[in-house]
Amino acid sequence: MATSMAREFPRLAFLCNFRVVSPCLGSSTTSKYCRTQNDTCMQVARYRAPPFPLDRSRYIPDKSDPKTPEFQKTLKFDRKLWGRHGEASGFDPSICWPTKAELAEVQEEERDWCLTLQEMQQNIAIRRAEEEKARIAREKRIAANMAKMPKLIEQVHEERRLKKEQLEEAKKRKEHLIAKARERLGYNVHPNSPKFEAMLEEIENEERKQKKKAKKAKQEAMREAFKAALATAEAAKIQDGATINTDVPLKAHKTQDD
Amino acid sequence: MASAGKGTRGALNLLKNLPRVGLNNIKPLPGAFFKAPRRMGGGKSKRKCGRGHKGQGQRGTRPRLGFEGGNTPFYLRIPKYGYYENHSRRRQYPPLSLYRLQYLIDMGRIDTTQPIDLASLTIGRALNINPKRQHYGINLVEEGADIFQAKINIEVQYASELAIATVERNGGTITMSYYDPMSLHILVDPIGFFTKGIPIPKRALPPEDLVEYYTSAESRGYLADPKEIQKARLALAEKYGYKLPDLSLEERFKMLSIRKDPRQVLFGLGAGWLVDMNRKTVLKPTDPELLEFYKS
Repeated sequence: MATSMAREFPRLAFLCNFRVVSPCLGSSTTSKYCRTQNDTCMQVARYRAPPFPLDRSRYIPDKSDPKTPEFQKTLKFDRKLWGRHGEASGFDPSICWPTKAELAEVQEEERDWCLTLQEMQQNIAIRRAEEEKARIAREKRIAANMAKMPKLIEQVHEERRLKKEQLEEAKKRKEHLIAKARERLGYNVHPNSPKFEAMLEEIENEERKQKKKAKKAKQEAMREAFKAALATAEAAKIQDGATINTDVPLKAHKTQDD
Repeated sequence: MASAGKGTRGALNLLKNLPRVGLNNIKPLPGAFFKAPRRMGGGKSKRKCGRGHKGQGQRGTRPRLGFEGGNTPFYLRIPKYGYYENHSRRRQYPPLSLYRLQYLIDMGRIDTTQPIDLASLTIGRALNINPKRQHYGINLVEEGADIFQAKINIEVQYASELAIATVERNGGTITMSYYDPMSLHILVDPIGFFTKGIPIPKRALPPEDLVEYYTSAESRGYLADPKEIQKARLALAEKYGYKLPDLSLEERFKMLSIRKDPRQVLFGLGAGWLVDMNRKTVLKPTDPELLEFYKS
């Protein structure tokens, strides 16, 4: 352990000072030495504590003298005197402890500023519970959002695809129109030119007319069918007990929403 | 010297009586160190006294440090960031390595037969703890954990897991306890405090942000449950792979189990006691109000 010197230099073992290991309060090293038969002896350093500052002059101020400074007449100074000189200062040691007023002040301060251990632990528990709650809520939210992720990703892909398709469609349509225009007008028309726009209007009108025609034709066809159905019904009515063919579709009259 | 003599006997006498060699009683051989002679300026014509020739240098009108002739200087260009915000108010725990602790124990400056706290470390000059510098105690550091070999009952303010494991593996105990600045003042210089004529105050409880640390068994806090601490000791031994020595079989078990009361500052002295250094006596209060106050 500590007899390293004795171990390393056995011939100088007599130089090592040994100390009796005895229990005592206060853990400072002392400077007393004696040889011991105890085998758990150890080398303890020669620490010489600085001498306690005993005031040889022992100045105790005269309170009645007006020349003594004010601070030397205070209770605080008296306490310090007692601390330095002890009983020789002439004061009763009870001055060192707080007076009733001072004690009340200190107690009030403690009450106002110092929390008890239980209160502090409660505050900590509350804080930790809140943190935990927030953490769990956040994790739940994240988990829920992550569950939605595949769907959202798919959505995004879809949208992109649709957009692409639309663009391509628009492009194709435009090219188609340009080709038509070229056919009609005989040369490469620029899409921004007024002629092109005029041509577009023409096409539109033509299409509208065609649509109308188609509609009229449809209506005519429907009327014919209806008449035919009526005729067969009439014919069927003459013979009692005959079955009527009700398979002819009878649609409601369409309104013009062109 | 009276015991000086000639030959082997003389030499042996010298060895017996001369003090231990230290820095205070040796000196180098004559001619070992050469102090270069101070040289004056080359020749009599130079009489500038080291100030140079004309200009701000000689005339002593140089601008302040950091000034760059008028453009915004470097130390003002760089934006601030709160790395050092309130750094002067943060708690500091100067480190004490296990290596140094082992050295002090080997040199006999620290007595392992008594509980070791900050007071004994200060007396043994392990560290210089100054409460005025926001020092709140000692931080036991792992350096020297592999050579540490002492059975101690030590009380520090912070220690890492490995340091705790090292101390416990060698059959010792370690506790983490909190001292508020006033108590630290007393602990670091007890005798200086006793001369002030103030009774020993109660040690304050740790602030809220330290309560968790000092009530947890993993950090061997002084406010923790002893049963939890025993469990934590076993867990740590398992974690680091050593066999935890059974302290109840120790001859020093009583010493190793000495702990301070949470309101106690010094070993052997309670709150509210007054120490008379002249008569070497201890005075205790008898007023019931005071007793109640100091016991709370």
